[in-house]
Amino acid sequence: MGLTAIISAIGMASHYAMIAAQIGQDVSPFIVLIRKWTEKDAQVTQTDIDSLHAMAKPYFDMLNDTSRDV
Amino acid sequence: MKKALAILLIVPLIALAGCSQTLQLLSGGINNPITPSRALALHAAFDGGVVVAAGRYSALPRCPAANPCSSQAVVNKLRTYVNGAEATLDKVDQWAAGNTSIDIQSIYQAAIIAVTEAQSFGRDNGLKFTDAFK
Repeated sequence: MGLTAIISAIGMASHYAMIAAQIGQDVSPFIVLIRKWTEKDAQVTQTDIDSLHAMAKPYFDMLNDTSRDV
Repeated sequence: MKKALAILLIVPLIALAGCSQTLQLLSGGINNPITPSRALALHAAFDGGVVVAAGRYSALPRCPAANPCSSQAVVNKLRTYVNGAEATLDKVDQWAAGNTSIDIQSIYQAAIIAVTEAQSFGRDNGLKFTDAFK
């Protein structure tokens, strides 16, 4: 493996690590809600439902954004 | 491409696997009593486990313009599976909010099937899921 390939591989690994770290942060709020509703069996309110939808909306926007489509 | 999708999907699923009750939610299906909190937890697990990853993956440049990149074909399928499952889970939400006209047994079963289809799609693309979706 040449030096360029090694540097490229390191760069890719770093990029994936950054993505993974970001995803980990993204998931944390959902885990808080899951634990609230399972471990504590908390009563569900419309505010809770709205909160869940608001948390997920940015990711649905990313998924359904067609500006990158080819 | 598959590597990027695998990483984006596995990371949130590993995180969700820490919620032991989530495993029961996703694997227990309709055999256990359906409560509003249990139904909402399923929705939150799907959003946190699949929607986040699908969104992040779709936000990558389309292949082969960059690396990592997202496949247009995979993104198209993700849209179908994820949006379909979410529409079903939204009906579960309506029941949880008090709409008693909804047949929660059939809707909940449909939601489980939709989530399972998303899992199957991942497997078809060579992904390994954590216990959260087994």
